[in-house]
Amino acid sequence: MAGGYARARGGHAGSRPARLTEPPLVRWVLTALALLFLLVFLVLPLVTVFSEALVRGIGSYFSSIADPAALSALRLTLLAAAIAVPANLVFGVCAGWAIAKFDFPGKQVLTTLIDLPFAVSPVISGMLFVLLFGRQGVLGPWAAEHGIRIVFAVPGIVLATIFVSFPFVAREIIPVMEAMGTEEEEAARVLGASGLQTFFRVTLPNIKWGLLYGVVLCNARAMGEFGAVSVVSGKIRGVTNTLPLHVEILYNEYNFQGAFAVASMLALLALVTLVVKTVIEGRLETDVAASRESVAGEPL
Amino acid sequence: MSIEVQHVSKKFGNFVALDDVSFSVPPGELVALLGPSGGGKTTMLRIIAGLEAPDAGVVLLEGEDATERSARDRGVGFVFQHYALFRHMTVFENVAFGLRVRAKAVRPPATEISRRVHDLLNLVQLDFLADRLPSQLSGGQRQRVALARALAVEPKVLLLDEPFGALDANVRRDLRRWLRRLHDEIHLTSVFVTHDQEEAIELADRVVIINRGVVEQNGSVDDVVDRPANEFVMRFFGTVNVFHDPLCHEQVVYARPHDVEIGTLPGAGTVEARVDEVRATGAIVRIVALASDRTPIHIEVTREQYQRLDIARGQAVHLRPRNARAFRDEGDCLEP
Repeated sequence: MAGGYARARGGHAGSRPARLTEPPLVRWVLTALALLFLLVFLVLPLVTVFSEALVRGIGSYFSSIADPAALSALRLTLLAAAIAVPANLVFGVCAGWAIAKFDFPGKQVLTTLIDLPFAVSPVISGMLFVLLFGRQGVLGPWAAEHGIRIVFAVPGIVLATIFVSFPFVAREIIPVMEAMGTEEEEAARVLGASGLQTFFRVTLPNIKWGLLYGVVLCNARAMGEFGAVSVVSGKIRGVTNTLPLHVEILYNEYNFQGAFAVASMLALLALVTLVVKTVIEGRLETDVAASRESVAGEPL
Repeated sequence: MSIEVQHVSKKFGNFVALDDVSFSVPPGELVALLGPSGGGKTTMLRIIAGLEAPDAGVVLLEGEDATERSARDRGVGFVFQHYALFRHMTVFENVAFGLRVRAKAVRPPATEISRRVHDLLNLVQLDFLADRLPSQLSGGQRQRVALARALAVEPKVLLLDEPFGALDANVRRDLRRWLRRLHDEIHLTSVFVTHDQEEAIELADRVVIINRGVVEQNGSVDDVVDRPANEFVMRFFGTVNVFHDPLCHEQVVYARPHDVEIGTLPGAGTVEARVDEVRATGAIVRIVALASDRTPIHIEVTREQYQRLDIARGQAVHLRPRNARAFRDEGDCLEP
């Protein structure tokens, strides 16, 4: 909301009378400082990633990416995200729905629990799964008996990814759902709609941009997660390495060019995510503004 | 279809919203649930619709117990106070919603849906706005779309929650008349909630007055205005003067401002008072007189009477209630 407001105002800044604005020197210095900061902390690192990746030419770059271990890491990263994101989409919508639309004992506890993965250090999250499913863990022996390997295997990586990316969807849609209220759903019910019809025809269209935004953030976290995955992975090259882990291994082996080439893939994924996020954010603002208007726009 | 509410009670935590409420709505009538805000009217309406479950009591629709029936299957139309239009759908889609969500076997074909939606939009005089979104409409237009949407499923009962509450005064007056005419045309059993007694008088056939979760009176508009059941109802419908019996102070009677006789000479059963304020604008002259215990007494007389009386501020006058009503039998003072 604030962004839209600032943008709308920004468009007129040039034509504002001098008495309403700062002296030119102040404006230039502040703008230059902000740009310098952006350059040093955001643009330079990004440029470095790509320039280091290409330092030995484009051929070397592509052979680093086409390396079987790198491709395997890419596959595992996409697999983990492909499981974690839909799972968290479903959990997030259920939790968001329950919190925003109903009153029940323990609601505050649930709201706090959803934020737990944000509050706990990712390394600790990873260790939780090792303690839970490891050989000495609570559920480890049971899993071993049934021939399921969780820690130092793909299931552990997926579990850790789900855990750390859990809050994003729920966090994004709870405010949107709360702003929407329950009247439209009640109206649908009185008009004869079933629960599913109400959800797909009334609730979902109202929260879709918030939901997409949450999914994009959730996906970004799922693909970029290092700490938690690093603990449960065991880092078996070509088997349990995700992209971020592979970057670290290459770097530790002094294969800087290879590390940056793989890192550039992650950076590209991040850039795509940012573009999608920006587009969605615009739509979300319009939606929330519309719901504010239709809820609070009339005098009581 | 008739509605019968029998001994309905509802609590929210410790708050008693409804306490043993019973009333009935005969088929085809327009009934107002009237009372101050927070008195339980909206809760009653939501219980009839099935959006809220009563703690005790039953709701009969057409003589059948509908208490356990879901809101989906009650065949009621509900107009929400803030309309609750589906904000991402056009006006047309809003009105069509109730028909589109029907099971395939009972869903009308697309052409039939389109025809019915346009008929309804014509009925509420909004067909030209069919492609707009709710956010592009004025309050009065949204209100009429909400009504068309509720009518689209051919409900047997129409329930309206403060239907004019969110509109400004002029729009409210027009819509009120329009809704009354509409009701006279389609004769749909209707219940609406309002806290505005004028609205209830102008629109309803019958009025159920609900205050603090109980029914204070249930009767025709004439009944509640001319024959109020108790002090609350009497006070709710306008200014009331309280007269103490000259022989027995415990015995009080109530009279409206136009039911107070005023004269300059004492007579049988008159009370002395001093004129404090005279408002002589318009056809009705409003006088406020202070009784000996300084309680203000409001009097309304015609301009002619006022000119004949020839009174001014500070002058002593003698008042006598006419058509006075007594609600309490104190019993302490028996007639001699």
